Parts: sequence; C-alpha cells; structure tokens
Amino acid sequence: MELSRRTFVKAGAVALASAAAGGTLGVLPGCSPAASSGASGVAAGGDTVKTVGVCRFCGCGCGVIVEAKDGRLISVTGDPDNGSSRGLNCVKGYYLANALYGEDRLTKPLIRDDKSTKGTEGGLREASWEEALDLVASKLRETWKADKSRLAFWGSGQQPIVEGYATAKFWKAGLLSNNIDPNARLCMASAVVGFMNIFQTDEPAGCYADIDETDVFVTWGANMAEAHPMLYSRLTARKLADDKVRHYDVTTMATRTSASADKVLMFRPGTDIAIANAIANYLIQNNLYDKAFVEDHIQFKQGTENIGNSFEDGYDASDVGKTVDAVENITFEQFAERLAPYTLEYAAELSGVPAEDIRELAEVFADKSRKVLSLWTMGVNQHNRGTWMNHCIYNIHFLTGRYALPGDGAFSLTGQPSACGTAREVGTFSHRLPADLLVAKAPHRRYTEAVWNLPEGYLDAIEKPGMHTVKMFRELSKGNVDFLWSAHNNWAVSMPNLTRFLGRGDEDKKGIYDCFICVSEVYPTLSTQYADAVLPAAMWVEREGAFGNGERRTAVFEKAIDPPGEAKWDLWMLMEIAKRVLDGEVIGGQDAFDTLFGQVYDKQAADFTGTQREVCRALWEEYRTFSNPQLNPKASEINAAEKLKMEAKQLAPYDLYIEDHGLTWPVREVDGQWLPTLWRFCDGPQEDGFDQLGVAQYGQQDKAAGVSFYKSADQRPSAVFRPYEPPAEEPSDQYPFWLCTGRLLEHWHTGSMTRRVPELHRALPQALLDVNPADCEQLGVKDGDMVRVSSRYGSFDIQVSTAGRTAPPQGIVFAPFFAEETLVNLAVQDVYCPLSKEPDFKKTCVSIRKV
Amino acid sequence: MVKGKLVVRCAMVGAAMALALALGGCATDAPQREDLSYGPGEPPLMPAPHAGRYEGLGAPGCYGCHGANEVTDHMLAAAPALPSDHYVDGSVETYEVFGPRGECITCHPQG
Repeated sequence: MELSRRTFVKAGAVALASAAAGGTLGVLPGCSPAASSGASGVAAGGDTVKTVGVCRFCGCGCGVIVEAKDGRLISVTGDPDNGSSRGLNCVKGYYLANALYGEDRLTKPLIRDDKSTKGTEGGLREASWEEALDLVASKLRETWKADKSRLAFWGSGQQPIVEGYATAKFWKAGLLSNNIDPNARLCMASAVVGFMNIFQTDEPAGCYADIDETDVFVTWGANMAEAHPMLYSRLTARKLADDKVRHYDVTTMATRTSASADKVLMFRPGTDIAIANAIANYLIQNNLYDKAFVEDHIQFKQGTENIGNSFEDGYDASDVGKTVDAVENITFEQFAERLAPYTLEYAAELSGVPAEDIRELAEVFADKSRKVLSLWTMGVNQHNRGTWMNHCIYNIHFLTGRYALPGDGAFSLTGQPSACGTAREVGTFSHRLPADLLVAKAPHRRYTEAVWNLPEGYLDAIEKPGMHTVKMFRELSKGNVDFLWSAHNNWAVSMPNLTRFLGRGDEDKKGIYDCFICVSEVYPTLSTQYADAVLPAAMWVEREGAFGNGERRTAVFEKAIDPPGEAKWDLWMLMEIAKRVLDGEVIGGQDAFDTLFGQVYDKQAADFTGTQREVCRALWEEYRTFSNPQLNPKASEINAAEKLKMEAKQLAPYDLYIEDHGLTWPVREVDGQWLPTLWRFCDGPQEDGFDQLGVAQYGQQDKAAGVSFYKSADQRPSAVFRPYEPPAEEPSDQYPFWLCTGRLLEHWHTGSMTRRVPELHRALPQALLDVNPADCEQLGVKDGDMVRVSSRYGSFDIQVSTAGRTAPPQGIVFAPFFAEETLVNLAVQDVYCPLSKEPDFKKTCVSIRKV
Repeated sequence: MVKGKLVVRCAMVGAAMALALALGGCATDAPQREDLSYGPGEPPLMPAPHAGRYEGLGAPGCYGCHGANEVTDHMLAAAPALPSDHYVDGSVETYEVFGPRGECITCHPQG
C-alpha cells in the first residue's frame, strides 16, 4: 500500500513544533475532562484529590495527574505541566491505576520454611513483619559477619531516588560492601561506560526537546514506537509538521519504528560498528568533517582490541579482561588511518547494507544546513561491543560538530523510569558512589565521607568494586552467594541464561536453593517462587517517591493513597533491616545506624521522624549536598582542592520538583530562582535552558559551535577508534538463527504489573515469536504453530507469528520477554560487553523446530 | 508486518477502507465487545477485533474508518469518529490529524 504523503502546511498550528529556545511541547489537548493541569493535593470536586505524579514504567518519564477518591485511584491522565511529556502519555500510563489493583497483591510478609519448595507456586506461609524482618536481618548479619563477599543486593532503575540513595548508603557505608548493582546493568551500562569514557561525566547533553528541533532522525537499534511511545509520538509529530524532516532507521529488523523511516538500513547483527566507522571514514576521506569543532573540542584515542568474549566466569580476571578499559592517545591522522580500511564497500560487505545507502547517511551527517539527531537504545547497548558502538556514534557526531546543540546531537534513550535518577545518579552500581563518584578514587571517597559524616578513610574498605550483575548471578549459581536481596525487579524472568541461574537441569540446584533470597515485591512473580522471604511493598503512589528520567529530569510522585493490607514502604523495610543488622555497631565511636539514618528514622519507635514528605525532603537535601558542596564546608574544601566540579550537576531544593512538575539538572540558582538546564555544555541564556552558568564557571566561551565540554579531561571529549569485531556467536548448522528479544508497547518489562491490567493483557495476551515467512516455509511451520527455540544455553516453547509487531528478515527471529510462561531468557546468552558488563540480549544463536 | 509510511491524510479514506476490509475482522461485521468500560482519562478501547490491522496498515488503517474527509466525518456507521481534539487546530475541518495523535495504538489498545 502506498498512500500519498499529505501536505502538512499547518505546522504553525502544531503546538508540538517548538518555537522557543526552550523547545518544549505545547500543551496537548486532553481527551478527558480530567486532563487539566493538576495541583498538588487539591480537591478536584466532591472528595476526590488530585496529586502530581510521574509514570511508573519506561524511561520516558511522562508526567501524570493522579486522581483518587475514597482511598482508591480513579484516574491517571497526562500532566500538561510536565516538561518531558506535556500531557502526552501511552497506553501503559493511561491504565496505570489498574496496575495497583490486581487480585493477588501481596499484603502480608511471607516466609519459606522448606527450601525444596523453591521454584514452585507453594511453600510460602504468612508471617508477621517482626518475624520476617528478624529472619532477613539475621541472615544478612550472619553472612556479613562470616564473609561479606558472599552477600548481594540487586536493585533497579525503577527504585525511587531517595530509596536508592538510602540503600546505597546502607550497603556502602553501613556494610562496607560494593556487592550492590541495579538491573540498569541490563539496559544502560554500555551507555554509562560510554559517557564516562568519552566525557568523564555520566549524562546526555541533550534533551527531549531536541526531537522537536531536529531535521533528521537517525535511530540506531531503537524501536521507539514500542519502547518509548511518548517520544515516538513526538518524533512522528515532528515529521508530520515538516515534509522535509527525514528519518533513517538503522536496525536489524523492520519494526513499527521503521514505518516512519524514509530509509531503513537493515544490517547483519553486530555489524553496526562497521557502518558507523565507514561513515566516519567517508567524512574524513572526503574532507566533510567540521575542522573547527574537531580542533577546538576533541581528543583522539584507541584502546585494547581483540578482546574476545565473556563466555567464561573468569573473563574479567583474564589477561585480556583486565585490560579492556585501557586507552592511549593518538593523533587525528592516526585516527583517520585506523578508520581507512572501513570503506563503504567493506562495510556493505560485512553488514549487507548497500554502500550507496551508507554513503547517503554519511552525506546527511555532512550537510551542515540541517540538524541531525541520533537516538539509540538496547540494540546498541545490549551488544557484545555495546560500549564500543556508543563510542562510534559519538565519533560521527564529533566529526560533524553535532553535539550538545538544540536538535543536533546524540541521545542515548534510557530504558527505565529512574535508571538515570537512581541507578546512575545516586550510585547503586557496584563501582559507584553518589553523583558520578567512583569507589576506586580516593578523593571521591573523601568527598563522600564528608557528606556522610564518616571518619576520613572509612570508605577505603570499599576501594575495590563489587560484583556486577552477571557476576552476581554466576556466583550465586555456583553456591558462592549466601544472601541476596532484590527489590523493584523480577530477576527470575529478566536475567539472561536462566537455565543456569534458576538451576534448571542442575541436579543439586545448589546456588539457587542454598542462598537465602529476600524479594521485596508487590505481586507474586517467578522471583518470589525462589524467595526464602517475601516482603510486601507499597506500590507507586501508595508512598511518595521520585524518578529521574532519560533527559536529566527529576520528578516527584506524591503519595495519593495508602498501600493495601500490611504492605509497607520499601524505605521502612530498609530502615528496619538496617537497624537490626547494625545493632551494636559503631562508626567513629557513634552508633552506626544513627550516624547513617538517625536524621530520618527513630529506631526505638520503629518509625520515621516525620511524614513521608519530610523524610523524602531530608534525604534529598542530604543527597543534594553532593552537588551543592557549599552546603558542607568540608566537602566544599575537598571539591575545591581536588577540582571535582561537583556543582556541575547541581540539584534544587526538594519541594521545587513538586511545584514545577519536574526539573532538568543542573538546576541553577539565579537571583533566588532555580533554573533548569536543557542543553548541557551549550552556552546561551540560562533562562532559555542553556548551560550559561556552567560554561561561565568552568568552561570557555569562545570555542566552536558555542559549546564547552568543561567536565571532560582537558575540556576535550574523546573520539575513540573501535574496530569491528564479530558477535560472540555466529549462526551455525546447529543454531542457524539469531534470536533478538525486547519490549512491546503494552507490557512493561516482565509483565508482573501490566499483565494484571485487563486492558493491557487483552491487547497483548501472549508472547509470540516473529518469524520471516520464508523461514517458516523452510522450517515447515505456519502462524500459530508451537516451536521449540533452543540455544546452547537452554530452550523455550513459543507460538509462531508472521504478522507480529516486528518483521525480521530471514535468519532472525524476535520474541518479547514479558511472558513468564514463555520465559525466553532460558535460552538467551549471558555474554556481556567486556567494558560495561551489560549482556547481549540481541544476538543469541538458536535452532527452531516444530513441537 | 510493518508496512506503509506515516500518512494521515483522511481524504484517502476510500483506499484505506478497502484494504481494511480486506484484512478481515473489520468493525462493520465483527462482534463487538459490550462488557468494556473505561474510566476518566483512559482512552477508549477497540471494542471490535482489529487483530493485525495496525500491524498491516499502520495508522492509515485506523483513519480510513475513523477519520474525517471532505465527504464524511467517518466512513463506517459503526466506527466511532475521531474527536475534534485529535485534529490540527482542534478542528475536524482541517482533515489532518494532530501530530502527537498519529500513533493510534499508542493510546488505544485492543479491547
């Protein structure tokens, strides 16, 4: 079918096309009478109350207005005053209220007395909070005292900010353990390591308003239509507003996102690095790069190559594994020489993308009369060379002077609602401390000690990073972890290589059975089937919290209703367990618990010292000190002496985030007003969203394009040459297909919440395997047939579809991972990017046979 | 399968409808779910089965029946018309769908 493109001459009427430098959306007219601007805690008629919130699900971070009546949510609508979404939402957000009301909400603590019942639906009994907390705390303390290398916490990019902050503080300062990592390791780690390697700061320079400003979209391994629906609506709106706007989709399979593309560059899995290098090479060879930008801003590097793959548990400690982070400076000429072999023809041969199409995309980047915005997600990050591919995208943007400018940039889209705000910003990774600080750096530990009021040198005990996620579960499966606490995730469905990690096919099931596993949850999940204790948690607006989304926007969701039954705020659980574990312990001669949490929790009363708002505010104000060193004289002194530039990520007082419906950091105080920043490192008026104060304080104002990368070493981000190296495994006679997994619109991650929403479940009731019709013919299968998908890791059964949401080419199949009964991760490899330790969920080699 | 470009001119309703009907499960003759209800702020569900429609046709498959053109405000009697706030300027008479509303299933799931 080919319908003619309409002439969309009324661009001026489309509020989405931003006119101001702020570039934000116009307010979207709401479908519903309830979609008016919300006000915190304001009665909305009758006895209903409206509160400000932010969606519970993906990394878009859509603002919502929550309406409650008689202790129950009655509506969730788009918040026109939220700068990220401006009233837009998607089907998951609109039906969010229903996610709280599944019939099987967990309302009482549960304990498993017989470990042999693990992996079944039975075996858990109800317990009192006192019994459950005593049990969990005793197991944690016992492990901690015996061998603290055998305990672990697995958190989440869905953990609200202050809870993540408190958890990191308890784990790192209370237990002196770095065995804490979030599930963001599965989705954002490659982007994070890319940011740190290149810019020495973990953050995107751009913002969502870039979507409204750009002339050309390039999506790299990103199915935004399914995974970032609100942002895809903005992309299509921008495209509809101007016939000249173009979209190139660089992908391994056609998706709904491909539908808006003017050209789809469909490449053989893993060869995207060759394509990106060919573009960079073309720009240099044809003298089409931005010399002034390169001269003023960029330094060039190369790193360790031929780094193999992390098949073996001992990879990180192997000779090559220990050197993967090493880089050395090279000249621009050497950089060009390294790229020279990547001709259009060579990239075409490797990737299967016609050389002419690669050249066309290179010319798009070369055309400085138009703005170009690269967007990417899991196709780039969940990659055996994920960090490298991040580098390669930035290389193109650096060569063409397209970074940190409105509409002209490279933007890594976040997967989860607070992967940025919690996992990254407050430091729940095994190698991090709050605010980009690293455990391995002594000045960073000194600064953290100052903010946390710890004796100098106290944190030297955590100098060495702890177990990253895959290592955590590999060690658990070998019986080397005795205590695991997981919260805000469903690891038994979302982790790769579940055949190993769930002990399937393992006779003694040693790891999963022997380890004491505590799961904080809102619903029964596959993870709770392996739990020794289940702690029922308050969900979303049943307590107050905050998320930090993909564009550096921090937004608060207010408490709107009480949790059901005996379900409790996660922060209360943490305090109660921390007080038990730290009982009798001291830090610097003072009671350990009170030193860490005495400002918000009264351990004798077993309760907080104030309301939830007051507790969140107090913890936020403490966390905010990391980016406001002037609030702590000792921290201020270290910041100045060590040139940490901690103000560069300045955060505002807590209540402003509620009043302003979210703010993008850094938030600068100007004449008593706190002004957000939309475009980092780009000089211009602060009141219009530019980074005026940051550039003035640390940067240089006379450089090319008006940008200044003041957080980078020598104020120069790094263009790092990275070669093409093949996927961890290539299709073979035994395993002839690539299996790619991912998300689809209606379901969030493992479906533990969205599958309990009838409207969402009906719309997408089961996981299907999208297969190319020609492959179906070869396999002798047709739509609706059940097949067994097997890899050298494991297998699962699934129904075939040739009319699903994706249209893979021959040789590739796609399956979403939301369905517990299908459990695609039984067969997915746990090989990870050697730099970021993020698993490659996109390229497992499998066989398919009819069952 | 994903086909079709991003086209939302409602005037092409005839062509879209012909394809929509060819796909089967069209709202005109398919059983409607009558037990569906939705709360304030929740976008209406699709009461008739539309399996494969969006995957096959994209947004034009929706506009074909539910959108307005110079002749009619929606093609099929059983198809609910898009409300005016889904059009540019909030006016049906523009016959052009407001950009952020262009991806129908982003908000309206199958009932």
